[in-house]
Amino acid sequence: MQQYGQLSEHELIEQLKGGSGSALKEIHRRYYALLYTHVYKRYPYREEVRDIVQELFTWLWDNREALEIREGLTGYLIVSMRNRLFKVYRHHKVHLRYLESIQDHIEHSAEATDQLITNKQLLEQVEQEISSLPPKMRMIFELSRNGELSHKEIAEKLGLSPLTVRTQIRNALRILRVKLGVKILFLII
Amino acid sequence: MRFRQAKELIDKYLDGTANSQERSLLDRWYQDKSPKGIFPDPEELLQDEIRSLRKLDAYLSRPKRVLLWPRLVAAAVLLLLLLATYLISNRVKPANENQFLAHDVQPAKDAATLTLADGKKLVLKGGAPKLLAKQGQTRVSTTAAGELIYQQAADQSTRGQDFNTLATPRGGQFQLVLSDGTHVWLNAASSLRYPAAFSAQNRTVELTGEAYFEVAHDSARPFRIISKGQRVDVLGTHFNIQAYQDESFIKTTLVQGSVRVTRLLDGQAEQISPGQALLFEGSRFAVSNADLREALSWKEGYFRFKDEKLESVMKQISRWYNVDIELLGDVGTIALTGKISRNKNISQVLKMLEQTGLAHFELTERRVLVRH
Repeated sequence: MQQYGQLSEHELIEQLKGGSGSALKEIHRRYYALLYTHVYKRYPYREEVRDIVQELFTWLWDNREALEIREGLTGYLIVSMRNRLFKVYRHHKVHLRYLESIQDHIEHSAEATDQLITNKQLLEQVEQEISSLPPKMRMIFELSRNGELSHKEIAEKLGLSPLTVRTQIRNALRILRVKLGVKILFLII
Repeated sequence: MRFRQAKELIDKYLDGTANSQERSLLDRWYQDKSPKGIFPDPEELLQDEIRSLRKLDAYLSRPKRVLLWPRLVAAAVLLLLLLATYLISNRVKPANENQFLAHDVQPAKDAATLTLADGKKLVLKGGAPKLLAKQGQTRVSTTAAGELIYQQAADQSTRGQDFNTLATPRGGQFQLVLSDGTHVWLNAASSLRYPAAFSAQNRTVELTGEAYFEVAHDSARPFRIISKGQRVDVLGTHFNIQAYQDESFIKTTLVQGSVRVTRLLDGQAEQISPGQALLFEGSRFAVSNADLREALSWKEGYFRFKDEKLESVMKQISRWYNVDIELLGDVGTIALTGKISRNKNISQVLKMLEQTGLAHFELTERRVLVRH
């Protein structure tokens, strides 16, 4: 058993290639919010964003053995997301404003420039997006990326969802445990 | 066709036939010109993230597809039967059923693989007494009590040469009587390598995993156990050694007699007395007073934990029930104290652990997910 939270990006990729589902889930934990936000900003339709991001993760799993990730996982995932978005823009029958905008861009940019956009620039943009996140979102990022708190705890910390009775009981137990300085015993059968 | 150029450009871009100018045209659009909206709602994002992780989990543990018709039909029939059974039993039984029953796992059984000197492997399952093989002049057989036993003949010309290995899988345990009469209880996911007949000078065996030894007294031939960088020398005594590969430590607990534990790396040695344990972890080599009940509980048929980290508790469960464990977050650091019978099915063990309220457990096909 390993603490996947502590693995480096490189180690995670190796583990994933070796067939570790836990490595995939760790990647999910680290990148889901980032990818979701990136896509949502460019295609603000929740249901579809959900599917697009989910498909990337199942694709990663199905193709894990053939993955060639050279320039870092963030870049790889963002570029994959970008390509998926293009596919969505290309085929969607309702949200046509993206195609329209691309068409407009083709017609009006002429050959004005030959400067290439590098992946680095794309990543800089992603970083900038993160830094301009609303405070609550940023907190989710920090907490979930640093991996110190579970989702539930984050939700509680930010007052995002109502506490269930069960959670309250658990919290009560936790407090009790700390107060008594002992770890609660379980029943003997 | 509307937006023909845009569509063509995307097609080229995605199938890799776009030239660098075309690529940069679309890249620039994506970077600077694509309509950018608002940030998602934090609560929705969090909900979606949790839901997505669950879906991913289900995806990872989905059964492999089999495309053979007869199997599909058989599976469909089985599914219907299961569904019917489920519906009926649901109607009959009260609602407070154990949530872990769907993927329940029975406790470990007597099961091991014996590898003979010539590399031949035999699967042992306990049961009826049987002569399995002859290794030189030594008879190898199973007894009615389900042990593996080595019996030496008078002619001992081949002593110390034929090495055998007894290995238990996860979810298996076995008992063994060596040619000198030493009795060994081998815990799950462990293996012991030993000569079918010991040489005249010493009795040396190699252990990985966990075993309890009752060494037959023979002051002329010291008994030695080599495991993960340490050697234990004994004359005749009762003790337990825990030396799993996936644990960072080796623990030698002495019940009776006396043993000397040597760190092979630098020859540092410690003698321990009954009731003491020697913990060898990293560079630490420390003697302490042992909780004998805890150290021997596995042999007596219990899991017994004293302020033990959940990570370590789950490792034992993993070995005993042959299940994979996944700990989410820092849940493995929770400490537990208690005692559970090892003869129960895993559903009952998890139910008890769940009742502590300290962690939550999900049991799927031979996998336990533990979270806060």
